[in-house]
Amino acid sequence: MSIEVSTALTIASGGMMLSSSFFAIHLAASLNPYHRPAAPMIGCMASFLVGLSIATAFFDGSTISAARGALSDAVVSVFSLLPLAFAFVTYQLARISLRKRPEDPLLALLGPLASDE
Amino acid sequence: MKNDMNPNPHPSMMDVHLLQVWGSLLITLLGICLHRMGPAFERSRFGPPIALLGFAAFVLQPDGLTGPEKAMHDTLLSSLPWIAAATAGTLLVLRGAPTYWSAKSIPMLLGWAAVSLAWIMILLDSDSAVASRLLSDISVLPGLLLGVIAFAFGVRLAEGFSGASEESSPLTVDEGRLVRTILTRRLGGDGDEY
Repeated sequence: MSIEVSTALTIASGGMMLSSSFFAIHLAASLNPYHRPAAPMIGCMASFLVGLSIATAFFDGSTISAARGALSDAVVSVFSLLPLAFAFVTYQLARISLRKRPEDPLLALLGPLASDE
Repeated sequence: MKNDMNPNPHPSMMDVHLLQVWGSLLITLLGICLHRMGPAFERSRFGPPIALLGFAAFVLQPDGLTGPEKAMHDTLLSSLPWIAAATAGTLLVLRGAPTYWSAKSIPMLLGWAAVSLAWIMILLDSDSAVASRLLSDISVLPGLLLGVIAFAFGVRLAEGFSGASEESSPLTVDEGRLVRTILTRRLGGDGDEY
């Protein structure tokens, strides 16, 4: 069970581009007078460019093709990992479904008559 | 290399498909982000229809899609049934869960049925090579994390640069009356003062 380093780096670079482009879109969509988007936007663009250069370095083709390939692989990987996230969600759902009312220490102090009420 | 793409005999059609794939994803994200702004911003109400439009445009791709986008499209379409069941199930279980210690049994049972259905679909869809594929798929996590770190660093930098803002001016008489009216209405009064 092993993976190629180039494949892992391509997917990781796609992940970088994916998350940074998501935040860049979010900054643009949620622009409002109370925003200072310059520094986060520069961070997103820098992260995107680093991801793009990693993807280009491991791809024999144009930059656009490298970006397309890496981003698509990242989206596929995110969807493949969703069942793991859903396992965590299922665990939390089971917890909240099975939870019981905690004992009230103040009512317990009043004795058995109060707890019967 | 994983990203080999098939050459397309009709480059102009391919361009249209690429535009539709990436454009629809962009529109979907834009819609979600607009929706996330909340009711304080009027444009947030355009979020859900824009996201739905983008999602529909992504799902309803015409034939002829090739290259890495084809794999992405196929993965999303194959994941869609269990994601829909999981989302519906999660919402129903949350609705039926014992908030303030009173559970609603019917939504809870329906929710758990949907969650179980989602797990059945996931297990039926998984193949034997899932473990080796998972290893390569996990490499997306550090990439996503680096993007988040770059964004968080930018936010921290922006917050560091912004000095203390000056004290806001007190409410005007009209603003004060408006706030009083809103509070009166919320607390059960007639609230017809404004």
